[in-house]
Amino acid sequence: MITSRRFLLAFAALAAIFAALAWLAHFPTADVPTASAPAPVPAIRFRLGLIPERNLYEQRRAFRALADYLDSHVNPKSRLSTLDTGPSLHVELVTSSNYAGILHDFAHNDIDGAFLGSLVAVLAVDRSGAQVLVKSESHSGKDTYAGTLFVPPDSPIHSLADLRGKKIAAVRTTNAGSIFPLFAFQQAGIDRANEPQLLWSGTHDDVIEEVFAHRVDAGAVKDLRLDSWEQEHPGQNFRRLATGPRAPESALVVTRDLPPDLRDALAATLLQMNRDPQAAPVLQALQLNRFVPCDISEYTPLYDMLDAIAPRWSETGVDGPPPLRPQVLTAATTAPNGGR
Amino acid sequence: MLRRRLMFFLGSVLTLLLIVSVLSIALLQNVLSEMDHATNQDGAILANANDMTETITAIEIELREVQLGHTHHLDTLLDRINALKEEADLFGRQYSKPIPEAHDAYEAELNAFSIFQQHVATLATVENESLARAHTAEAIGASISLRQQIITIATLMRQHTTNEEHAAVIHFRWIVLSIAIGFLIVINVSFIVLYRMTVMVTAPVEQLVDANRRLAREEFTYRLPVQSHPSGVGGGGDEFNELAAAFNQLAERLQANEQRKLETLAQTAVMLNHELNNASAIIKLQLQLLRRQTGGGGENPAFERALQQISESLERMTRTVESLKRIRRIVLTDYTADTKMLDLEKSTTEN
Repeated sequence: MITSRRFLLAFAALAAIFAALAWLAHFPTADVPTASAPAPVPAIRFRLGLIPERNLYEQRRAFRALADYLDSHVNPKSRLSTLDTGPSLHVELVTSSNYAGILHDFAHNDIDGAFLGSLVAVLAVDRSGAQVLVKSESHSGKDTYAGTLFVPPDSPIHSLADLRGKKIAAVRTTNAGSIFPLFAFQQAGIDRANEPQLLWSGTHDDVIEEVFAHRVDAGAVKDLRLDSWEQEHPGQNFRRLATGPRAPESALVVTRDLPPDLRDALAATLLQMNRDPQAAPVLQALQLNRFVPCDISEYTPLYDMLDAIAPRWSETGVDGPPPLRPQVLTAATTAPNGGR
Repeated sequence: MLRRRLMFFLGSVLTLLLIVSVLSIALLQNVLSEMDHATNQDGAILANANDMTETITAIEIELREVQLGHTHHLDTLLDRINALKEEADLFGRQYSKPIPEAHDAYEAELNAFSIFQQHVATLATVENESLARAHTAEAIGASISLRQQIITIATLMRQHTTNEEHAAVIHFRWIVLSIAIGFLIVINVSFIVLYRMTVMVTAPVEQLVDANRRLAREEFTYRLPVQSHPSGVGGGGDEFNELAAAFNQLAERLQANEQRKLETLAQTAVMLNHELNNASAIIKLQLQLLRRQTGGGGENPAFERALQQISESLERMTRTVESLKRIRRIVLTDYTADTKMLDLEKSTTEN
């Protein structure tokens, strides 16, 4: 009887142990707040505008990587506190469908900064008082770009004069698409009645694809994008008819209302990226070597072109008045290269 | 020892029952998870296909909003395109894997998605109407192709799931049948084991009861069988074996006591026989002398009758003493209310 009771007791104890283990295994882990944990300080929001320039999806992925990098590396002085935890900056991407949209966002304070081509940059500076911080240097070591007019290699068009009455794809509100073609036609002496028809496409890559697909006769894009496209498509080379004066490549332009400490921290972080191993994949995704300092004086060649085509500003397809040269800049000294 | 044997048998039955139960639960869980998987997969296919078509529609609506100038921000559109890409990847990866027939549809789906994505991006930014028209036609074609491939993969996968469900139902039937047979076997084995356990207890008890009854009938020579190897489960060393040995010892003692009593009685009988025979011989001799002296007793019948009675009593006494030598057992009978005496007749018979 004693043995039987012991057996039952042992069985009951074993069952209790298993039940306890099962309960422990499924015990909900409660979030126990630690008294010493400081309240999280909300991160500063920075809305970074993007303009479709190449493949939208790749461009967004690349800038998402840049945004993540900035999230974890930018530390404005106003946030330097031992009590601050978590990322001090949160970069949001705002992708606009066109260059006019970015200008609209600058004007309505819907973005805090954007990587812009030269024309939109000077328009933003002129219309919203924006400030240029840094520009990009491509893998080829170039930190400036030029508009270029090009045709397929099998095209019968061999000069700007052959473009008369043809269809040219371009991106509106860009130096390469809106300003340079008019400037080049003017330099080439093509009369306005026979000037080619400009068809507004969405991105520089789209323009190249349209030309490649022979939906248009020619295209006007950034030369750096055309270089990249040709590198990505070995054996596919276009014939370049003319290349314009160079202007700073995609530059970070920020609103005038951006806090100075954040502006300086952003610029500092971007300028040291090429020395940070963690930034290497980000720069690789952006197809850049590094960021370099930039100021409005580097846009002088563009202002010179704008002055040259000033009477025809309404034909550029850009809404609003032409940008005025900032007073800090002297008159243009560089003569634009009208063709080759 | 008996308890150990009983626990061994009971434990064996319980273990067998436990094994069959656990096996049954595991098999049922397995088949139920198969059925659950098929049902969930069926629902997931419909949900995924529905999600994808909804996302495509949402992309088309968002694209339309951009084209109409209601918004110039493309983030929602791009997020939806990314969501569609993830859904398309997941859909194809999950569902083209188990069914090779869906591989081609998956490739076609990815191709259609790539074209759709490319033209949506262009349409979101292009401003020229003629270029937009060309891209619209291609985007619509890609959208239709994408939807068709989604439907094709979903249809193939639903067929696959239906087959899986059918196989699971057949599997379930076989398992239920196997479990029923398994439990029938367990019940039969349990019955046999329990019967064996009952016999293990009742058979020795019946033997003990029978032996005690024999002992009560003074059958002191009866012995219970005793196992010679007292150790080990299933051996002869249980409590009943000890009881049987104790019973046998008791019977031996009782038999020895009875034997001693009989021997004492026999010796007493010899002594009495010896003494009484001597006395009766003298009495008989003197009776003969008296008869001769009285001339045969013819003149005095009363005296002759007395001599005759003396002679008969003497014969009776001689027989009684003689019979004492033939006592085989001691059988008592009531002499008075509180006194017993030897039942000579029964004591001289075997049983």
